[in-house]
Amino acid sequence: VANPVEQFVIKSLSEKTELTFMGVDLSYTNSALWMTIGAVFITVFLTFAMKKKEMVPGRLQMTAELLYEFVAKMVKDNIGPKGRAFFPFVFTIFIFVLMGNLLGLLPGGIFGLPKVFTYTSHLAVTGALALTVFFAVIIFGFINHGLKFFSMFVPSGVPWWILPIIIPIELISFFVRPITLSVRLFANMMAGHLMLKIIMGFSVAAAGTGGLGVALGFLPTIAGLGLLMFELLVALIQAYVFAILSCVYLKDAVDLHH
Amino acid sequence: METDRGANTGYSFMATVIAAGIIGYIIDKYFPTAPWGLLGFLVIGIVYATYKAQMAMQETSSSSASHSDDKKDDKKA
Repeated sequence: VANPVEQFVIKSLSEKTELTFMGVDLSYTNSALWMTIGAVFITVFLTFAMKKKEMVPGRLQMTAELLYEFVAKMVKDNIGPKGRAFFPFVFTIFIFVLMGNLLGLLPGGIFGLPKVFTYTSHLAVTGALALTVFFAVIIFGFINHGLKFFSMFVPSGVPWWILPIIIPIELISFFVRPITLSVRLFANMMAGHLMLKIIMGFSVAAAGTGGLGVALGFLPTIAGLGLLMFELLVALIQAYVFAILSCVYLKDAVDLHH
Repeated sequence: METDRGANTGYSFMATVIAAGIIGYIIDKYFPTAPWGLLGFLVIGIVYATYKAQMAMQETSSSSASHSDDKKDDKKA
């Protein structure tokens, strides 16, 4: 049986040319390759789809407009009218996460196809995304409100003698946001892909035993097919959840009425 | 999608309880109060998280009512 964890191994694609900067390994890895593929794919797709701006949209234009309107509505509903400035940021995050989740589900490693890599299954990637959102909230919060931004940690309508207990709780729940945001995505993607690989691996192992194993070996594949559909759903939902929680957090930077 | 507006409520409930638990745990670590610091702060956390969820829900329902008014305006326009 193929090692189910092998799909998450980071491999350097530029082993001949050692790339280091101040002691940090900057090799071009398979993770970076798939990030590039995701970014290039969505750029080419959106550019190509919106090339002919027709009054009655074709299929590609329809898809592009659907993506745009989906995120635009999400930003408008969650941040408010002032949130339009954040639309490019939220759209980029949503598409980047969505591409990572979906590209990782492509079949790879068979018929000579290159192995696919899910870059959102690594805490380093999701952590970087979550920290970007976190620092965006802090920076734009201070730009928009100055020192009044600290009043975010003081909930309104709470008696003053509870505040010494409430403020530390608010502070900690603010600082665990990047952790929960990144771990939610990475754990979902990693667990899903791992499970998919293990269940599918049962089929290979059963077929390898011969006889009855070959006859019954297709059963895990059927279960795996169902899991693949489920994983597709999880890929979409997690990208959506990541984007929507980014919106909810960015709302704090825009208006402060709590 | 009106349900979006309450999307954070569940997560903030969880985060508040965990944050309170962390404070209680730290207090128990440095003061001889174990296990009462953790237990006490968990109770406080749950109470406060419930209060916060209640406030968030009231805000959500009132703002989604005004949101549906926006929609009517959209239709007129």
